[in-house]
Amino acid sequence: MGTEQESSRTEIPPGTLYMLVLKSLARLGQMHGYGIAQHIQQLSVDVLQVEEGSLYPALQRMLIKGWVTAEWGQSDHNRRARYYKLTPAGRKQLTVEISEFEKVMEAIARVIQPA
Amino acid sequence: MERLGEIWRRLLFLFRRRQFDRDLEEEMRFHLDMKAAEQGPDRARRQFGNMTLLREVSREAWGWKGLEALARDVRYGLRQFGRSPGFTAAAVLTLALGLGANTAIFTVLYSVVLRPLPYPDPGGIAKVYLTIDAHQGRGVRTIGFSYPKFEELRRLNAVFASMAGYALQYATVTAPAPADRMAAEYVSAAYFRILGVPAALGRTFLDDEDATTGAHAVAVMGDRLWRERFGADPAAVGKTIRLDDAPFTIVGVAPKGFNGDSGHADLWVPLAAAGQGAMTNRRQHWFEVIARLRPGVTPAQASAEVRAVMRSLERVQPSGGANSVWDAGAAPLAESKLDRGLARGLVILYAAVGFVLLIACANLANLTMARLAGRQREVALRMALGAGRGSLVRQFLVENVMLALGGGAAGLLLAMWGMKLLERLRPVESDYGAWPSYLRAIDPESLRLTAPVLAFAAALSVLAGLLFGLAPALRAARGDAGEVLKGGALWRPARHRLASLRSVLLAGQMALVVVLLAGAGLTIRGFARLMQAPLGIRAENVLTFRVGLPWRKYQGKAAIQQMDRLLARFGNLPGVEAAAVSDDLPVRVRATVTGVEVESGPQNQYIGLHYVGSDFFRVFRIPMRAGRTFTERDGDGPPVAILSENAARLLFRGENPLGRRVHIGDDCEVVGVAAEVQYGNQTQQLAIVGDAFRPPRFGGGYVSLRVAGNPAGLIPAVRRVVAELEPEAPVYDARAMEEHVFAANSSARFSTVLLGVFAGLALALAVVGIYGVFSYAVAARTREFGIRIASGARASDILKLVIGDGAVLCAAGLAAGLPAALAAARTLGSLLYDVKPGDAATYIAASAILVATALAACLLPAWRATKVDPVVALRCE
Repeated sequence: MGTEQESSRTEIPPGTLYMLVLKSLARLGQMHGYGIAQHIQQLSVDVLQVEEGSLYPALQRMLIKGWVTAEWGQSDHNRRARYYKLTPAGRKQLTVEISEFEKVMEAIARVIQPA
Repeated sequence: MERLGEIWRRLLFLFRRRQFDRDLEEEMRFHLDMKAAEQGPDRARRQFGNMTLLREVSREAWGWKGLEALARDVRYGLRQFGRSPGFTAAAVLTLALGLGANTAIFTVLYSVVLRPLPYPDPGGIAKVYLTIDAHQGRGVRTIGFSYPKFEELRRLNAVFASMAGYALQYATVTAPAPADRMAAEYVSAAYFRILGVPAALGRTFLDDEDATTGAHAVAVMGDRLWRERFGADPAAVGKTIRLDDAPFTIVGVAPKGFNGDSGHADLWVPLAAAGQGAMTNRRQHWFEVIARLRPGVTPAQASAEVRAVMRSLERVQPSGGANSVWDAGAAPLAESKLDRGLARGLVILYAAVGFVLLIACANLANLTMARLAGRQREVALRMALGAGRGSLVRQFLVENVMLALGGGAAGLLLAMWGMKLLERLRPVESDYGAWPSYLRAIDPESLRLTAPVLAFAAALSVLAGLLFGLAPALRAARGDAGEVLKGGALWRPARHRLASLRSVLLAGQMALVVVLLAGAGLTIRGFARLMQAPLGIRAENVLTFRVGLPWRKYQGKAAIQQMDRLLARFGNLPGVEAAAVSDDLPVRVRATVTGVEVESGPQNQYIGLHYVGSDFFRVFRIPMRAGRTFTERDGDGPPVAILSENAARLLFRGENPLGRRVHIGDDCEVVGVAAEVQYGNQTQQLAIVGDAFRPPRFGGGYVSLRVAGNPAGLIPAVRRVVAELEPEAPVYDARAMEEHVFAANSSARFSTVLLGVFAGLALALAVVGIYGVFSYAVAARTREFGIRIASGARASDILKLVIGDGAVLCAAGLAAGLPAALAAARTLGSLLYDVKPGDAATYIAASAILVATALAACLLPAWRATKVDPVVALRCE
C-alpha cells in the first residue's frame, strides 16, 4: 500500500512506524493511541517522537489491513478511550516487519563500518 | 484472502462513515486532553497540528479515492447526457446496432466453433473414420465402419486405449405405451467410458454386452425418456422396454442433458442389437467410431497408425467397388465435429459485423467531435480553473464508456430479440433440406446467451467506448484554453472542406447501403412473388402425419389393408372431410424424377412422379382439368395415372391424353388431367400422380386429413384411433400442412429477413454517420458561416452550401454503390424468385431511399448553420 509520506515529516525512521506500533501492542496487550505514542517515546528514552499526524492515519491503515482491531473501553482516568489490539495477522506482520528491519539495519551497518 | 478481507472492511466503512467520524473525533479529543494534562493545553494543540487535516488524512486511508473521482465523472456525464438527449439517443442506438449485431454473431460463433465439448477430457478422444473416393466426381467421402473392420482395427492398433462404435437410428418403442418413434444409439460397451459419461442411475454397458446379437438385451435410458415414460422412478432400472418388437432390460439412466455424441439419442442399446447381419457384413459401413488415445499418443500419430493398419487390411481383403480408393484416418473429436466451411463462413460473417462496429465507432467519433466543438467553452473554463489534462481525458473517456455500456446493454436486448427472431424463422430439424449448413448449425442451444457471451459483450462495449472516445478525448485535452477565453477557437481551425478521410468513409458507407438496400429490395420482391406463387393445393385446414406400422406384422397387402382400415376410421372422425395417403407431401420435397414413355409415340420425358391414394385430390382441393380423379376401385384394378397439365402437354403435345397409356414401371392408363401441383421449390413441376400405391413406398408415407377446424386439435383423436387399431404403431411427425408450406419457404424467408435487417442496420448507421460528420463540419465552420451571413449571405445560400456537400457525397456513394449492387445481385441467384437481378425499379427505389435519408440527415446541421448569429460568431475578433 504505497510509501508512508507522513513519515518523512516525523523523526521516526521511514517505514518503521508500523513495526513500532505493532511491537508496542504486542507488549501492552491493548492500548489507546495516546498510550502507544507514550510507550514508544518512553522506551526509546524520548528519542523517538510519534506525531499524531502520522499515528492516527497509520492506525487506520492497520485497521483496514486487519492487523489490529479497535474497541472502546475505559481508560485509567475513567474516560472512554479507543483501545487497539493485535490480531493474529498483525502478529505475523510484526515478525515480517522486524526481520525486514533487521536485514536493512545489517546492510546499513555493513556499509558504514569503518574499513 | 487478505485482499478480500480488506475490501470487505472498506465496504463496511462506506456504510458507517458517520460512526467513523464520531469515533475519530472522540479519540483525538481524548489524545489532546491527555497531552494537555501533561504538557499544558497550548503546547499540546500546537503540536497536535491541524485536527481537520488529520481527520481528512485518516479518512482517506479508508476511502476509494479513484472510485470517488470516477463517481464524480459519472455524475457529470449523466448531467451532460441529460442536456443533449438527441446526441445520447443517437449514440446509444448506433452502438446498440453495432454491438447487438456483434453479440448475436459471436453467440453463434461461440457455440459452433469455440464451445468446448461437454466431456471431462475431450482432448484425449479421437474420431476414427474411413474414406472412400469412388472417382465419380464427388471427391473423397468420409464414411463409417463395418463391424468386422472395426474389430480388426481394434485388435491391430497400438495407439488407442479403447475404441467404441455408435450409430443413431430411429426405432419404435411399444412398451411402456404409448407407441412412439424414438432416436436410439446402438453403441459399444466402451462408449460411455470413452466419453467419460457415467450413469446417473444404475450402470452403463459391461464389456461383454455389446458383441453378440441376442445375448444381452440391455438398454440405457436417457433422462427425458426416464421422466416421460417412468415418471423419474428410480425403480425403472430393471424394468423392460420394447424396442422394435424386442424386449430390453433397462440397466441404467444417462445423466440429464446427455443425448449421446450424435446429440439426438434418448436411448442406448448394444451394437449387437442391430442384428446378426450388421455384425458380420464386412461391407455394411453403418456406425461411427470414437476412441480414447493412449497416454502420450498424439492425434497425428494415431491417424498415421489407423491409415497404416486399414491400408494393409484393404490389401488383404479389398472392400470392392471398381475404381474406388479406400483409406482411413483419425482426428481429435472436437475437430471432426467442426465444419470447416461453416467455421470459415462464420468468421467472415463475424469480420463483416466487426467492420460494421468499426464504422459505428468512426461515426460516433465524428459525432463526439461535433459535440465537443459545442463544448469548447466548458472545456476551456475547466482548464483555466486548473483541471489537469489527465482528468479531462478521463472525463471524456468515462462519458464515452458510459455511452458504450448503455449501447452494449441495448445491443444485448437487440441481440436477444434477434435470436428469438432467428429461432422463429428456423424450421424443425427434419425440414432443413434446402438450408445452407451454417444455418443448420443454429440450434436453440447455440442461441442461448451464456456467460462467455455476456463477458464478450461487456468487454466489446468498453473497447468500443475507448475506441471512439480516445481521439476526441485527446483532442479535447490538447486545446489551448487561453484562445477560447480570448474568443478564439479551442483547437486549430478545421479545414473548410470535409476532411478527406471522413468523406471517403462516408461515401463508402453510402455505397454499402446502396448494395444492401438493392439486395434486400430484390429478395423482398422475390419473396413476395414466391408467396403469391400458386402452390396448386389448398394447405389450410389439412393435418398431415405418419403412422409407423410395425413391418414384422404388416407386409405387402397386409399393410395396404391395415392402412385402408385406418383411413376409414380417420374419415369417420368428427370434422374430417377427406382422408388420403401419399408417398410424400406437395410443396415439401422435390418429386422423384422418372423417365416416362408414351405407349404409342416416341416421347420419353423425365417427369416428377408421386404415388397417392384415391382421396388425395379432395384433401388438397386440386382441381381437375379433364377426366376423373381416382376411385377406390383403382387400387385393385389395372394401373391408372393422372397427369398434371404441363406433363400432359409435354407428353402428348396437345392431343387428348385421356384413355392413352404411359409407361411408368407399369403401363398406366391416363384417366385424368389435374392442375399443376408444386413439389419442393420446383415451380413448374411436371407431376404425374399415379394411384398405384405401393407397399414398399409405404414406410415413408404420409396421411393427410382435410378437417373442418384447427388441424392440430385433431392429433389426440388420431392417436386414439391408431392406438385402438394397432397399439404398436406410433403416430409421428404430425403437423398442419401450413407448417410444411412455412418450412418450405423458410430458407427464402430467412435470407430475406437477414438481408432486410442488414440493410436497415447499414442505413441507420449511415444516417448517424452523415449526421455526425455534417454536424461536426458545421460546428467547425461556425465562424465562416458567421462571416458569410454578416456579408449578406441568405439562409438559403447557407443551406445550399451544406446540402451541396451532402449531394456530392450521395453522388459518390451511388456511383460506387450501384455497379457493386448489380454485381452482388447476380450472386444472389436462386434467392431471387422470378425477379431479374437488374430490376430497375428496385435500384431506383434503393437510390431514392438513400438520397432522401442522407439529405434528411444533413438537413438539421444545415439548418443549424443558417441560425449562426454573426454577432456571436465574430464578437471577439
